[in-house]
Amino acid sequence: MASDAPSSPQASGVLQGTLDTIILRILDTDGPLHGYGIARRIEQASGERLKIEEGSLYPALRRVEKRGDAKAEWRQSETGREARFYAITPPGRKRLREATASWASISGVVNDILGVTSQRRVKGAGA
Amino acid sequence: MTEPRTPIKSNLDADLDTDLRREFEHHLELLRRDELCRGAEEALAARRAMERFGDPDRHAAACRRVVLGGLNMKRALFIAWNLVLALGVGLSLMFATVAWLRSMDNASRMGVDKTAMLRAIWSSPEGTVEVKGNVARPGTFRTSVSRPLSVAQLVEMAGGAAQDSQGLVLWKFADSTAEGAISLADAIRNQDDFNTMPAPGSVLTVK
Repeated sequence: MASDAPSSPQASGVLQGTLDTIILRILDTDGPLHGYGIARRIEQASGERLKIEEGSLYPALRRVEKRGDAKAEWRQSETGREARFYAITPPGRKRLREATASWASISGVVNDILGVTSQRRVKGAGA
Repeated sequence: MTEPRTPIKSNLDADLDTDLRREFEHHLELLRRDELCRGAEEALAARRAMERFGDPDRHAAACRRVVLGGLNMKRALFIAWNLVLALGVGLSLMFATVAWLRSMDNASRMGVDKTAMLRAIWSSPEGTVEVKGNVARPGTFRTSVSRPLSVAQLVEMAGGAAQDSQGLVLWKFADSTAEGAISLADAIRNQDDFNTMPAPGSVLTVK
């Protein structure tokens, strides 16, 4: 998790638990991946806006695995070396759905409080 | 990767460290290849890979906290439970000792023979006595009574004195040097008892 090793403004800005949800989302859409693969997908999906110390993925991966939301196994990677691949589990999918719904709700509330939506509306109306 | 920080490590800890080392090495290798593909020199590629990854020791420590955190809590609970048990046993022993000393003190003030009192406390409430000689059913009998049996009762337990008995009872207690002889008729008449529990091995011989 970024909170384990915040090294950049972007990393420290990642809310507690958000990285776990992002990991679950990537595993759900892309299938089993190793740590490096997950890091690349986060980079691509965020348009390189979310930069984290890639090593900080591993405590999050271990946490997700420990909760039973993902399982890991050693397999041969594209390099020919053994890598630890993580795959989402059914409880992980359930948690992902809940976390996504929760995030949508919370982010909506926070947006309302910060006036992000209304400012956009005003700007849109002005244009 | 870090060397083990504690001298004694469980297999689980060692396995985890090995897994983390392999995992990190794989990730760093791919990052290094990335940098090489972008045109970096070997040394620069390795340095940039390390910058992107962050401190492996710190990340490994964070992983250990995640994986072993629950186990450490179990260990802490186990230790706490044992401490509570040890404290309980210690307090019980202390209270028992105080009670013991008080009872000894009271006994002393009341003029009770401490040795007799200790014997009464530690000796079995049951005794045994072998009744042999001129009795109907010789054998060893348990004297599981709250108070000592009389000579006549003991002989009666063995079926009574035989017809040809001289009516003399010899007794010898195993737990003391006391021994003697008594007339069965006198013993019956006087309801003589031994005033103690015969210890195992005590013998009553009817002549």
